[in-house]
Amino acid sequence: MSKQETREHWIKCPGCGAACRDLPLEPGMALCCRRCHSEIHRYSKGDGLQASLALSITGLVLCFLANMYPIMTFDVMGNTQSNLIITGIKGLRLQDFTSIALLVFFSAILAPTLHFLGTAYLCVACLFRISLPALSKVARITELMQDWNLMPIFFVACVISALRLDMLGLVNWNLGAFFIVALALCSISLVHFQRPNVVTRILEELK
Amino acid sequence: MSPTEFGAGEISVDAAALQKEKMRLDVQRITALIVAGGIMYLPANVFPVMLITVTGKVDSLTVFGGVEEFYGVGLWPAAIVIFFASIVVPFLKLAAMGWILLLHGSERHRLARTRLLRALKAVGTWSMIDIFLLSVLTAVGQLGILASVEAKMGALFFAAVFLCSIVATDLYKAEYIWISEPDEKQA
Repeated sequence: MSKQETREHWIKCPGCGAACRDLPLEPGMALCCRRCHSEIHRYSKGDGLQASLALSITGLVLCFLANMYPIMTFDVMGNTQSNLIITGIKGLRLQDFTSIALLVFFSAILAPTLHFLGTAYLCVACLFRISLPALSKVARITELMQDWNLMPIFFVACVISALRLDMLGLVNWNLGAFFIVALALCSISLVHFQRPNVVTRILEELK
Repeated sequence: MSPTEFGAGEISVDAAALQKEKMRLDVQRITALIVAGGIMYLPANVFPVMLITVTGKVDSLTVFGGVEEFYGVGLWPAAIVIFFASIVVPFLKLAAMGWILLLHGSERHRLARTRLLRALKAVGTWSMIDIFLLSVLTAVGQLGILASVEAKMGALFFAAVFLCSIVATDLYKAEYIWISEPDEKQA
């Protein structure tokens, strides 16, 4: 973002990249881009930082728990096999599909963890107005990781897998599935509560 | 030449030229990715993605085979999800990016292209559902001769199509649609 944009509180339209002046909004109002008509942000009571911090810390705890507990148990003629998120990744690696294993590891474990970690870091800096190191780098990485946090899709894939396995044997859901649902909801809520324009503005002030 | 040898105006002209050069390189990369994705789309749908063996019964599944199987047993909501996420979305992404690239630099349908790009970025990652499905099934399918799930070549092509389309959509910035080519406006 250029110096002129920061002085005047100009923000970049996420739809077309046009520089738009960040105006104060009243209840019910939304700031829209004049060029592509997309909504840049809507009026909200708070800055969403406390909610984002709470959700990102919750997300981090859930990331840990979702990776610690098995998702489901598959039973064929009395022989059972349960799975963690990492079990599938290890299985794919053992079958020499390392590239697919890495893709799953990145989008189901690494990206969600980095997304929550980065958001928590940015929220702490913005809430307490602390100029923490490498804030702009963390902001860029967090934005990228948000796109790669595919936990809601992973949850849908788990449900479809259970339906598929149910045709072949018995499927029992385990505690890990509950944490994956919670993690998916947490990821969706975090995106809903995040106010990128507020974070960008505070980060510019902290520079 | 060091940056101090330039005046303020010259730096800004230089920055604009650099931005255009970056855009040109990005468009080249995106074109290569879309072509590669288009080539791999066919094997991704023809070759089996996984081989499921349960109590001696072997089932080799392609992406469409999985859709058919779900539809066949009456689980049509799951069939619809996989059909759209794994077959329709990758095809639409490649076709839509091709159209966006075709009109790159022109002023035609700018608003429609911006909206389409935004929609592609929103739904694009849903194609990962098939890869996650394979990962979860591989995890529980480790019961030796009783049940096993093996990944097959189709999965590799499918993952490659997904990566090509997702990287291409990410590389193409929405502002590229609104930047005119130098010979159109500024020359």
